[in-house]
Amino acid sequence: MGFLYDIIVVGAGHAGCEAALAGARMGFSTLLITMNLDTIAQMSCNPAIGGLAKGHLVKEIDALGGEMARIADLSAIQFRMLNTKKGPAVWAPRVQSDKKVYQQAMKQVLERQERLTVLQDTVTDILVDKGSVRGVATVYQQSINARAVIITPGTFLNGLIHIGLRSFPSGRFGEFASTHLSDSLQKIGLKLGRLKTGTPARVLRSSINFDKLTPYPPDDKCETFSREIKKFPLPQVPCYITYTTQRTKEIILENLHLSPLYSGKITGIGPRYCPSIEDKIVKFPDKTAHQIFIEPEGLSTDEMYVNGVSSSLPQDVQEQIYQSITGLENVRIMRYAYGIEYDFVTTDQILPTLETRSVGGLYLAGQINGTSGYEEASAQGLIAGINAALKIRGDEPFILRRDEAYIGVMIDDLITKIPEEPYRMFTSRAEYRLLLRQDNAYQRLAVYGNRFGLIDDATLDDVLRSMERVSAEVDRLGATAYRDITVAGLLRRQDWTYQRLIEEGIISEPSGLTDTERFQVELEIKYEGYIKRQHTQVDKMKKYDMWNIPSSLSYENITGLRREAREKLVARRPATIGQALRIPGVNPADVQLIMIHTERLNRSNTSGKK
Amino acid sequence: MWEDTIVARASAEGTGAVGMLRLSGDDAVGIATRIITPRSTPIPECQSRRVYLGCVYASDGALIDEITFIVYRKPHSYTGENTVEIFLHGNTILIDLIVTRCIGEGARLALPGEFTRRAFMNGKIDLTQAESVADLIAAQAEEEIKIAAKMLSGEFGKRVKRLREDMLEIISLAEASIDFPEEDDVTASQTRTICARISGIREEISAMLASYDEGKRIRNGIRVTIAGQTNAGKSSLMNALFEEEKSIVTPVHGTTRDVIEGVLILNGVRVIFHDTAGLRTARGIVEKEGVRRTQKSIDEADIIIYVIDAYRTDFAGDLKRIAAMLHNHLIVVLNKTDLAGGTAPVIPESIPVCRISALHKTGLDTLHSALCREITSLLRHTQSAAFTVNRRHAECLKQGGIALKEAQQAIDNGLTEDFFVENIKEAQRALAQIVGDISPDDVLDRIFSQFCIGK
Repeated sequence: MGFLYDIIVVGAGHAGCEAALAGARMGFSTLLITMNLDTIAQMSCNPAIGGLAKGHLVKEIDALGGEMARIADLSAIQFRMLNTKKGPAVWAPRVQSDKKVYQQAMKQVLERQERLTVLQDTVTDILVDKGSVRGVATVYQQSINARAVIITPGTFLNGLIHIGLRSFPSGRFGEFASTHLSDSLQKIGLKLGRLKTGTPARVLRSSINFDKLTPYPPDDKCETFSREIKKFPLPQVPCYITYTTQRTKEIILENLHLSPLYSGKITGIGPRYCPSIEDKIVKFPDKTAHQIFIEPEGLSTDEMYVNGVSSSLPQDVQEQIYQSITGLENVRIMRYAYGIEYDFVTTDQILPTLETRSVGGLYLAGQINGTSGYEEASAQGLIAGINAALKIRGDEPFILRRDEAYIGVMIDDLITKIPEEPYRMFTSRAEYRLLLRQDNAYQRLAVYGNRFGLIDDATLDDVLRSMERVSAEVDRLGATAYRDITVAGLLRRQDWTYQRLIEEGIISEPSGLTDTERFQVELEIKYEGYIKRQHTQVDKMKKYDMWNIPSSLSYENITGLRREAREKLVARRPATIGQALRIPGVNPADVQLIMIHTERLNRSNTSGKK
Repeated sequence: MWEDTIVARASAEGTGAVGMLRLSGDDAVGIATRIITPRSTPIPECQSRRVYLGCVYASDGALIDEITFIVYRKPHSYTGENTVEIFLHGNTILIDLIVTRCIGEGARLALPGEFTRRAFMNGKIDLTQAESVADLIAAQAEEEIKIAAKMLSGEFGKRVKRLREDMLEIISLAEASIDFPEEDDVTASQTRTICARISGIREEISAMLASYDEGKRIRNGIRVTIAGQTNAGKSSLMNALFEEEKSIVTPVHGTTRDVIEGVLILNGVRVIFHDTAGLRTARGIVEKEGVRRTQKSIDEADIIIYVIDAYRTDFAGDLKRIAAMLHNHLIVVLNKTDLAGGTAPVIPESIPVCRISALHKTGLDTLHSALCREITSLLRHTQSAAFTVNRRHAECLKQGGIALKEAQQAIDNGLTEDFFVENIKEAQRALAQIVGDISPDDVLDRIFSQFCIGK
């Protein structure tokens, strides 16, 4: 059977765009199908990219040759580096984005990409034959064949919007949901779960009393996400901070019976890190005021995003709530807040490549895997795209380890634990956090990007040379004596900086080091003890992460496994000893047993071959 | 994690004639070299599978035991790794001390069944035996789980739970400030709170470790040393306590040249009494040795009974010695009160004083109750908590305590949450065997329940 395309990507959100670009850039004819060409790369919620741990993801996407960082830079209208009072591993770049610019920039990249076709249509069925994907059916075409299919439907998968006690099927407000696709996934044997999220209202800029708000200005010094773009092209503008009032609380408490959440109408589980305003008031009754950020949706629109006031109460109650916020007394709502429930595929059914276990060539990325966030989605899209291409090529799959990237942490988390709420990246999820900095993403990952043809040789060369310069300078400081210690030893002291060493003439000005490189030299020396310690932990763990458990291992036949461990192992099917170790409820004694039985299988297999 | 060097007692629990412990892993020979002083051949040069003699000293230089040992080089050992087997006297305390030495030099306490698992992995055990290896591990693990479950019920369980709560709390405070820096709820620095709470946990760990030492005291007995100047009546007191001629009692000064032992059960606890040579400037080699042993016995005592001859008039020497023992559990006995006429010595008020006549066996009941009070005080952790921790737990607690101390040092050095939380997490990993693991999800659960996150 001939294939019309190598790869079909269903959905052109943040995951879909990266997946399609990766597939096409790796040399495969790719079809990207979206229900609406005008909402490509739509930011359904917050008009921002980056932030804690998410900023790291964006840098990693850039280092692997993804697109998000570039588009974020092109559309950035406010840059801030968050968390600079802490150590450099948890500094986090974040930008407000002009939503329309973001969409158009991404759309143009897709349109101009060789080997990529973008089509407006709606996928109704996934075609499977003998355990392998064969293509998709759409509203207009009975069958489009492909070797691999990547599904990235976002909240459209059986989406159900709630406003007050009213609910109706919808993918985003005013857009159709994708119900056939859910049915199709179930038909091919995938189990679905249900999650919930929400978005606040958008209000009219001219109806806000800015005198009562505190401006929240951009940083003076801007750093772009992508290596390619040196400077943000758009002007930088402020956001604003305000607070809810006593009146806000009263209105919400009076109207709680109209909330679909509190009346039990919503069954999906919402994110605790992004609670609705009703949740905040009910769960934290002692708090008198909640902080609200007001953020522009773009330079060419007067819509403003009211960050922190998502709600699924009825429209009239929403008006009262918003007008009770300081500075918003006369505010006019342009789009109402809403809650949305949607289907996801429980993650015990996917492999670390994001391919489904049961259907070869079928990949899932983004909210369908239970995550939340543009950055999380993009990262998965990129990984799914790369792996689909590698599989077609017949190459080894690409799986990042937890010590290599936040992306590795995220995917490993997903396959070892089924999300109970939309999964969002946090730095606290990364046990090797001190090694996974946003400033060293290229050093960690560019070599992979280059291997897949997504990062060019010149860029990789730059990265490698830069790493050499940093390590040479670290060596120089370690070899230069200062009184009875080394200069490196001096730098480790609390009140010393690299700059001070140069200013006081203790070392000569280093030649040819960029600011980032100087910064890296300083922190490699200053935090050497902690960094070394994490490397030691990584070395210990690496072996177990590369120690494969044969898929033929039957946990049912292992006597001595505790029941809890057995149930977890049967459900999660860890691919490696390392993954088994990370499954909650599986203890070291259980893992010892798995090691023995794994070894037993290996030995009987080799003797069988003889 | 599973390829490092492990150590464990290989002989059965309890006291036997011979005890054995086994070290296995890449660094087994290295660790043995660092802790064993061989009689002749340096350990790296020892032939495999031959028995050698040596001594093991504590880190402070005190002799733990004379031992024999065998070095096995990989792959010719039970586990297939470098292995050292050490044979010593079959006393639980001695074995414990040597295990501790090995851990101090980088070994880790073996998991249940771990030696056998390694043997299998290294091809030392046949495929057909794999099932029995697995059964063995399962059985040993089950046994440990049972023991742990037993410990976790009751008071010990409550304390462990509290410890876990405290650990979770400080990790959550630190992580909240890292992951949610813009939330108005979290922005205020929590470093001081965290530091104070670490101190609280360290105290708790010390108390639990104290109960481990006390547990050892219960198992091995409490040491009471009877000390005093020559001819104060120490041996008479010993005899009175045991109502038999254990010490040689004569009116000649300096009769007891060695240390003499007797065991009584007081408050249900084994109490080992040591009668010692009198404290005076020694003449002759034998007496010098007697005085040295007396001093050692005093140093090792849990309780000291200092005997004063009340019949005398000059107490200056006694008072000086008492002043040097004030930090010990100390009871002063005024003996020969049947003869005493002159002025009584002035003993600091904090010290219990018993007036007795060892010869006529009067006043012994007051000494008895004074001893019981001191024993109760010595075992107060155990009795208030009604638990003792085991070897593995004690090791976890020690490591956890060290990591927490490092966290506090990091805070003092001005390091931020993202760094010192690594030390706290290390403590958490060490304590995981006792308090259960704390996962990032537990931390996030705590953060979301405590702070209103989500701008």
